[in-house]
Amino acid sequence: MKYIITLMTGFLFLSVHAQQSLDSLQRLKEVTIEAQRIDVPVTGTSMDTIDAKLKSFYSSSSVSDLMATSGKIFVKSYGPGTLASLALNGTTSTQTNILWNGFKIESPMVGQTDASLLPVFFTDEVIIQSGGRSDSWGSGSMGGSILLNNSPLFNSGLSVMAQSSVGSYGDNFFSTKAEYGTKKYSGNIAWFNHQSKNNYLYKDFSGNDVNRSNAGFSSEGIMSNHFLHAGKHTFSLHAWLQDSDRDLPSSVTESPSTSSQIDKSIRAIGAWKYGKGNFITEVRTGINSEQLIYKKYEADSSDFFTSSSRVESRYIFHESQLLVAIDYEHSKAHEHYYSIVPEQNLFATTASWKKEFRKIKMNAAVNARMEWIDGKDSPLVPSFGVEKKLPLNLQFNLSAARVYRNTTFNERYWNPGGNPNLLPESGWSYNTSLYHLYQLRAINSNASIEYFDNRITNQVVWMSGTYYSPVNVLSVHSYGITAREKITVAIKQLAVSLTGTYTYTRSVNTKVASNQQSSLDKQSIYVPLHQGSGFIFLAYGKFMLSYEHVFTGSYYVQSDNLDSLPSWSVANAGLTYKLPYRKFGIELQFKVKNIFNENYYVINYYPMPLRTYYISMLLKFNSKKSKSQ
Amino acid sequence: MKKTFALITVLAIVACFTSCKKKTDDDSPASGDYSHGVVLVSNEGSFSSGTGTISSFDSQTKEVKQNIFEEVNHFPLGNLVQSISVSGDKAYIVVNNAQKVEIVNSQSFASVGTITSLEQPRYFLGINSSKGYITQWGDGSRGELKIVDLATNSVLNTIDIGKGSDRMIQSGNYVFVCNAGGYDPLTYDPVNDSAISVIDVQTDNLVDRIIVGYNPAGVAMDSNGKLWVICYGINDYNNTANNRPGCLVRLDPATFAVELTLPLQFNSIDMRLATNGDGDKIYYQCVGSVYEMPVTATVLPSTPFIDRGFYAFGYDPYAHMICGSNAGDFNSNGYVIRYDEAGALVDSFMTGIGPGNFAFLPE
Repeated sequence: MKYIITLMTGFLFLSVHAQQSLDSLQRLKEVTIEAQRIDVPVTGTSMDTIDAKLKSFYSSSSVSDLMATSGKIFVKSYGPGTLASLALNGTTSTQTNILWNGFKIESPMVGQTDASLLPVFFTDEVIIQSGGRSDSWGSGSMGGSILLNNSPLFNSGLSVMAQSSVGSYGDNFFSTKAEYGTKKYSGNIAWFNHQSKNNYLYKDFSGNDVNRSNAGFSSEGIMSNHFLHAGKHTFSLHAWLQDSDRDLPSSVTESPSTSSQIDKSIRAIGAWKYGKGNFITEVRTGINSEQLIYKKYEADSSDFFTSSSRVESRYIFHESQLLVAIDYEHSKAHEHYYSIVPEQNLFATTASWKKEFRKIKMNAAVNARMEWIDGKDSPLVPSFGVEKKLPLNLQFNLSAARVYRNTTFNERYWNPGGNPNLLPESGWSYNTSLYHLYQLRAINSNASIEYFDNRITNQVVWMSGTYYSPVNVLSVHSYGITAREKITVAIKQLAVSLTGTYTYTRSVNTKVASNQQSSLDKQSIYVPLHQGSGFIFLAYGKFMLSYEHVFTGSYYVQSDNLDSLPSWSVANAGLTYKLPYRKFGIELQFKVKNIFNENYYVINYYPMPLRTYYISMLLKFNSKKSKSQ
Repeated sequence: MKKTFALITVLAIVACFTSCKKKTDDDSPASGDYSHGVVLVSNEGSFSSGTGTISSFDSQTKEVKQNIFEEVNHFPLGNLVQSISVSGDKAYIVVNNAQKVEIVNSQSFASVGTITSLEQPRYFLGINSSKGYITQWGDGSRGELKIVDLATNSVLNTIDIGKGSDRMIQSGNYVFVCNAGGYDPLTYDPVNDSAISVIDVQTDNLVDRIIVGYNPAGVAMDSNGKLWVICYGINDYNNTANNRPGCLVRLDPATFAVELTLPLQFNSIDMRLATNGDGDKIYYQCVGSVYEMPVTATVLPSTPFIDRGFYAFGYDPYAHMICGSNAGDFNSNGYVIRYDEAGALVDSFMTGIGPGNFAFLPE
């Protein structure tokens, strides 16, 4: 931890001149450049920001736990604290990006991010961006992306918080955060420590309650974000360091595991933006590095380092915006089982034109991106997006984009079996949605329905042969709808919020390998046809009651659809008591997860916990009595 | 607004009614006699999140039964099922990540015991009615042989016999074990692997290590009582100068002398080996093709006998069929394709996920 603190001190020193860069992240409107801003890089896609009240109930949990309540994302979880990947709209987890402040944080080795290692506490905003947009986010954004953002709190004065949570099976979470905001500067530093024995109860094949073995974990992380606005310049700096050490539980069809894994990650982003007249220039650079030490008999270490930079210029004229950008990304990895030490140099150019048609209340954008990996060019990736306001408080969004995914180092260089001749997965992603806003006195309603459609070819699947090896043989058509409704009612001291989400997803193998015909026209594995969730938040005076219900329909675990896992539904509830006192505040919270003791498996033979309990206390201080907390 | 509510409600109700567990295997009932006239196939199961299974195929009626162990015993075999071996009236199913061997009555398939205290077991060989051998990879740095008391199903003794102890065969008073390299099947470790370990079944001692070629992976006996061994070779990705092709070796099990070494053209971990029922021909697989060769030959055949490769490969001495399995993506049921001795495709049958090993039982 010592090196983390040393590094953080360095970042803090540098951050005196730092401020916000990403347009979509700014909370405040008074920034000069903000007034010129019309850029939203994913015009026409469906953006769903996770409810702040829900997020606050998950402040001591991982992003994977939070996303599991979305009613839309499938979280492929091996259990609490263990590997969890996110998949959106019937695509795979390698086809769904996770971005931190606009930067992809996936491992180039496996093409995905372990969302169980991403603490909700380190995010100010979590957005599900539905609709593939490789033109904006690059490789991997085939079905959509999960955006984890940090945003500034200008004019907030000094605020300090500390939270301690104690839960079943030795779960201890402690977090603290100090934040300071003036008119031009906003910065924070946050730290968390999470430990759990995690020997939770599940039911074995005979129906007996059994404690999960070798599932304990501990993780610790520190994050700091800084935003500085200085005339025509804005700066921002983000740094995130995290260590975790966890035992790896085995499937219940294996003998109890003795293996464990250490993950150490360092991520940082720096950005500078300059706006003058109709021109805006922005430079961003970031690093994403991880070391993974797997221990069974002896420690086996692998690591990767990715650095990426982007230079972007925008010219705004007549309600239009022209954007050109150049990206450079370098990745390198070490893995005992690789045939080489792979390095990858990626150049990309992006051009975009966006027009705001104010008279007809419409935005339209056309983007195109071209990539070169180690000198080899990939196909031009265009996109088209439109957002149109309609009568009766309706809004229509449409996005069509060519999408692709570059193959991972594991797929290319694993020894034996890696296939250096793999082609990128590619296809088209279409997304259309209709929003309806309605207000009647104290009642607010926000309804939406979205249709998504992804057609992907050259999808990689590992096949047996001379070696177990990845090949570009699969074509997949995934499509479906997501319907959402959120109603809020506020009457005097009573505030009620109801949210419901339902997603129907078909994901069909339209082309398979010649020796895999049994999977033709079958539903993709781990893609439930039906998913849904509902939340109720009831706030009265200083009390808030929450109830969540998450439903996941049956899904197949064999590509020939000959075996499936049963549906499951999990309910969670919480009660919060808030006591403000002058510049101080106390929040006491009691939570119950899996109230009805559902015995369920997200992944075959990896049991999830029965009922668990948590209590937490949060203390906070704000020199200005900030309303934001 | 009302319509939106109605839609969500209807969809939620539909979801609730369509979420029951689907079990679409149209298997026959599991009861039956598995001790005669069947091909038993051990299926590994999904790598990280599955259970292995056993399929049975009746050569006469062509009836296939899936997952017979769990159907009879009501609990899954475990992950991953490496191999199956029949000895006397029992079948021994080696489950390597579960570190155990499940023992069933070979007629009813009812569980009769479990051998534990194992570490990454690979194959079982019944020596006599009271003793069996189990090869295991252990922690990967060494290979071991477990001597098992079949009366108590307990491990009597453990001997170090070389890295990656794997397939084995008995000839007279000796058992010949392949040291195939274990987790590193394509490297070369002349001290620990790339040998055939010879065990005296009367003393259970290691009596010799026969250097045959790089990473011996399969062993079979011909009608002359000679042993044939196929070796993977070496495939060093980091330095191709170290690469060596595999080879086919004939050795005399009485003198432990290597009589013939036939270098193959390639190195590969898909090398497989079997003899036919009469023992006058060997079949071997190398880089996606199966070749046939008389046991008297001193040169390798130039053209494939079957021009495709299989995940598992065996010869049914009772039906006189060559059986090859297709494991596909390891996320779906595999299947076994049967060929006659002329190399003509006869039929195929479905198995569980990752069909990896066979046991052939007489009528």
